[in-house]
Amino acid sequence: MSSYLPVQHAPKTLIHVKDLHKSFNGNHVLRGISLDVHEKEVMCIIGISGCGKSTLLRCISGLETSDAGEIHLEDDNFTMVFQYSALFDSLSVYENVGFSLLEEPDESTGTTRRFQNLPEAEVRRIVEEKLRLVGLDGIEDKFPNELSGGMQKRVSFARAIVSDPKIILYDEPTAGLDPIASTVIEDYILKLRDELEAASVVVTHQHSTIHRAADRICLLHEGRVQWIGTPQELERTDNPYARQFANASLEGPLTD
Amino acid sequence: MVNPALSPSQSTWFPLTRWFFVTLAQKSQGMFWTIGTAVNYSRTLIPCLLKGRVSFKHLFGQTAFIGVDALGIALVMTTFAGMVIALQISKEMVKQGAGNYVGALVAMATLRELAPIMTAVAVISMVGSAYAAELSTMQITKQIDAMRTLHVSPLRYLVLPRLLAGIVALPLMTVITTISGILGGMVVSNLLADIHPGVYLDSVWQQVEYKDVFSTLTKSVVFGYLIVVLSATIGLNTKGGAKEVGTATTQAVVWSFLAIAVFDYILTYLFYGSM
Repeated sequence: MSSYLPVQHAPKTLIHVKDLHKSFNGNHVLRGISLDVHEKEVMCIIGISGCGKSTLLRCISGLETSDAGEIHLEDDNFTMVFQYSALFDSLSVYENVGFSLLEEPDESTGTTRRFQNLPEAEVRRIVEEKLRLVGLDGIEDKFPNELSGGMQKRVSFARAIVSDPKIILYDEPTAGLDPIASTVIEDYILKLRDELEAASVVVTHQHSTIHRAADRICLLHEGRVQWIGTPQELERTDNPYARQFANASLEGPLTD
Repeated sequence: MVNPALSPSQSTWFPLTRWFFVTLAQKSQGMFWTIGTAVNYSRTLIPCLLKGRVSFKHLFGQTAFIGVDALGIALVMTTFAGMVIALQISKEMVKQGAGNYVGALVAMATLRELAPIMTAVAVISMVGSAYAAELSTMQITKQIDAMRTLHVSPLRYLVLPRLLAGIVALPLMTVITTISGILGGMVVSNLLADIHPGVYLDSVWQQVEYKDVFSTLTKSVVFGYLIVVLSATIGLNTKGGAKEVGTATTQAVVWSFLAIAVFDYILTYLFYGSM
């Protein structure tokens, strides 16, 4: 029987993690994590401190090598936003944002650049465009130490998205920011998701980030995925880990 | 029954000896790890150097940084070293009727050993420590990680221009410091032992061979390489906070001193050992 129903495309999986293990000096941090993140999706990774959130993110970005398991990124155009911005403090905002366009790529990682050998004027145009996208204008010649924390964070966003990545990893993007600056950052996470159709993974503690920015939430505890679901499901679930985290309760299975 | 007071874990010496061997094992483990990593980095750096794959944009600034920072100190140290040697030997040699050879001795000591070593010492304390501090700060503030996620190699972007600057600047500086050391000896031997500068320089000229110049330049290239690669290895692998940046800086200086002492012997043996 032929069907005339409109075809629903399943969202493409951009990040595929399967049975990931990682230890540091005998401390088993990740104990078999499996996780899929689709395009146009923000996946928030939550959990108490030391549960392996940041390690998972560093394994996905290739900054750490895993001991066992599989990480497959559908697109090698990925980028990472760091907790304390990690801007290059000896370079101007323009040189920071344009860094990956101005400097020679490392061919040993096998990464292909979208833009290469661009003329200076073109780099400047792209840098200005990306800075405007995060609401910054006319600060190209300033240095990172002349900017506020929130502005540094936005510059680091601009630097990360300069090559239109399909996968964006955020390590505690709203930590240490005031509530209004946090909201601004959360809006940019959603804006980048929609404009670049990127798969985003956000490691966070912050309640507002989980509720405003997340499409799905993944709760880690003791190196394992304990619960995955939407923010609405987080309110209703009877999973004891998710319940305890949502209520910030001291009673429950989540202990240090 | 064994008296528990005499069992090894209860004696005063056991914790001490245990501490000694554990510390020794930990230190040597760190040492082998650092050497291994430095060798590993070299396997990336040397092919890039030989292929000339250096971003020349940063090279001039880095060479100037080494020159401006360390040349003054290297000059003062080598000049005084040449003066001290002249001070030690000139009167005695004149008394023995060998006044004509003071220049030869000062030149030999300065050219073969003092100038390359003093220059390296100045570069280690001014530049190696600064590199280690800068790179370790970049490491603990995640700037190195950020660079990797932007698909730029920290070795090629940060270390390679510094390395090339090191192996270009050190021989140039050594040539200058050698000349100043020999001239320092000339002034002192003239003032104290009344040796005519013409006689002194003539004896210098008779003594110095091409081989000496070549061995000194080789030494200073190797020293430049060792200083930059060791400082970079220690800097790029710092973990922790402000305290560890301090430790990394100290370690870079100590390690560079030790490496230079060992390689000075090896290279001297290779050049002169068979004589």
